[in-house]
Amino acid sequence: MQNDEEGENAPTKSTAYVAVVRLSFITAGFVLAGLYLESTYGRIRLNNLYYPYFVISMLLLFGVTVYIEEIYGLFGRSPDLDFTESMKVTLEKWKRPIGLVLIGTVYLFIIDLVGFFSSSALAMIALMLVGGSRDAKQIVGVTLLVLALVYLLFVRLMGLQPPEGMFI
Amino acid sequence: MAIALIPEALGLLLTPQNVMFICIGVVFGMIAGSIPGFTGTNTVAIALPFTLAMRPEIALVFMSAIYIGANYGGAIPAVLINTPGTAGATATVLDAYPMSQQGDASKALGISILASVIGGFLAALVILFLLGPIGEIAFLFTNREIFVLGLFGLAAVAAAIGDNVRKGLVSGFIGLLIAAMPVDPTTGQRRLDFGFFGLYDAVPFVPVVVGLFAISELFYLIDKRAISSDTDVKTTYRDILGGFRYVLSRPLSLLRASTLGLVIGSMPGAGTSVANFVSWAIAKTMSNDPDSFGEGNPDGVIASEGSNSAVTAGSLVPTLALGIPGSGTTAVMLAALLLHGIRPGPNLMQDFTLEANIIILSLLVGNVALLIFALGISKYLVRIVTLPTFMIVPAILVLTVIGSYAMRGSMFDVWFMFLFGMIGFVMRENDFSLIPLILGVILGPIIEGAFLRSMLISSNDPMYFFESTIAIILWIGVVFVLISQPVFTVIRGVLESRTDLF
Repeated sequence: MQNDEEGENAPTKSTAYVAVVRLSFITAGFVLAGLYLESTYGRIRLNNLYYPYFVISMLLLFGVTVYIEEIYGLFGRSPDLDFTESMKVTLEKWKRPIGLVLIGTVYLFIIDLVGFFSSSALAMIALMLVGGSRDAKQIVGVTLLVLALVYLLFVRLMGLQPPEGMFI
Repeated sequence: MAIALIPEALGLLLTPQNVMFICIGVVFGMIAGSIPGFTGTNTVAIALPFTLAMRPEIALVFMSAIYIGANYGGAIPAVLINTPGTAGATATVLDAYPMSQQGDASKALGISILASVIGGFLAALVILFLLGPIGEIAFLFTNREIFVLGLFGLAAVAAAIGDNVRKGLVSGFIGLLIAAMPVDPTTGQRRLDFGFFGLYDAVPFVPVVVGLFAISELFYLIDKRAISSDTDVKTTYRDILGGFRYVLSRPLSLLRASTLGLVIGSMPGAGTSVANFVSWAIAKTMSNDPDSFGEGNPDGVIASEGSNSAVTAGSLVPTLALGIPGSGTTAVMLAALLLHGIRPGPNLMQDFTLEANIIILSLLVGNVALLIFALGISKYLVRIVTLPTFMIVPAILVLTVIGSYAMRGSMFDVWFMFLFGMIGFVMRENDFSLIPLILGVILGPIIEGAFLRSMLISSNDPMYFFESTIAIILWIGVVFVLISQPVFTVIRGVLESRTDLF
């Protein structure tokens, strides 16, 4: 699945870029562990911290081995692209998923502002456009159908009150 | 005795409302399972918030029905358009699609339906009668054993799922760390909640599950136009029933596939994706005509479908009895159990025997419902894969947003889900398995609680964790799981360098 692993004919991405991608998750885990230590050490009785510190120790132990393994795997590469070019290639490859992240973020921001149903309608229309649909009837039809289903299931059946803003 | 509770469980299960939810669940599961790339795990994850308003037993029955439906749904596009809907149906393609190409699509569909139904039914029946003995063993587990069992489960799942056991363990321990972020359970002191009230007393695991499985999948789905455009397959009920007759004429093949599925499903971490290939390979080895496997041999379809549906019941054994999921889908089922106040693990068989019976019995009823609905609508469901993904993705996004919000009426949970969707995508891109992380988040509070109580009992003596036979066996299991993969790799490397065997 790795998007940093190029196909046979694709140019090889920059080693620094591949390193950033490959080590991102595990580094985030280390940062979380560091923040945990910073937030708890000296503030909470040590007896109560045996368990989380055991978890952190194990995370560091296995994390370091994965770190070494990943870095070792980067030796001997001969990249065709520099860091910026590699990033551009990735952005091009993942433009639709990136569109999903952007639309999703804006969607969640405006839910409280304009209300759940209005923001959902806008997000659905935007996503269908990003996905390549240009058929207005289809877009409106799918949007209305899904929102009607959500209304029936969650509002009528489950009695949920979705977030409301200026509209619904 | 667990068996004594069967009549009571049946009475609770067979209400019109429950039967209706079983039917809805099976159909929903079939629809979602038939979408290639959209696994049973994703389907159950999306459905999780829908169960919030349900009574616990109805919710569990509903989830089990979805599980059965999704498991079978994967076979429909596998038979008709050469695209497995789920990983569990991958081996089905090998013989079912050649059958379709030879004009036997209806027969292949009929075989896949009945093999799935009978395989799942037999496995559920066996599990039902094993609940009693499992419950007896569960009584032997105290806090100490539960703590070690939790670690063993994490290690076993990390080793079984994915290619790199260390990456699986990193995933699992990050999950445990995330679960340890809210307040200290003994003193109530805040640990690491980043000032968010939503993380104050517990990590909301439903958004984590939905985000990791459903949202991360959307990043891949949105990049496809339509899953397939090939639906030019004609099927008839007469030939589907011909497939039924073929399955009934092969009882031993079906029994072998079900037994394999049951056994493989019962192993923590091993799921349908393993079972269907093992079963297919064994059927091929034991066949008088092994060369015909992969060329449209109906026995290959029985082997794959009979085993992957038996996994459904088998994987519930470690899930219910030990709190260790047998597959990704049962990891989400664990979350569903917790959501409804049912704590998985050894205590489940002591405290929730009736609920465990209801779940297993619902698999039996669910398989009967599957037979009816699969026969009725399978041939039409293949049209779902021609739906453009630009319709599916927005619909799933909106359903997951409202689903995560429904849990606590909090927008924090929705953001949390979205965050974990992106984390899931990064993990998948870097070959980190999602399931150990989910398991860590779900089991974290249980493991921590067991650890703290054990330390209290032993006056903070860590040797207490090595002072019982069960705990020692489990520790040996942990060590075995951790060293088995690297040792095997070394042995394989040595053999490769010295021989031409590989």
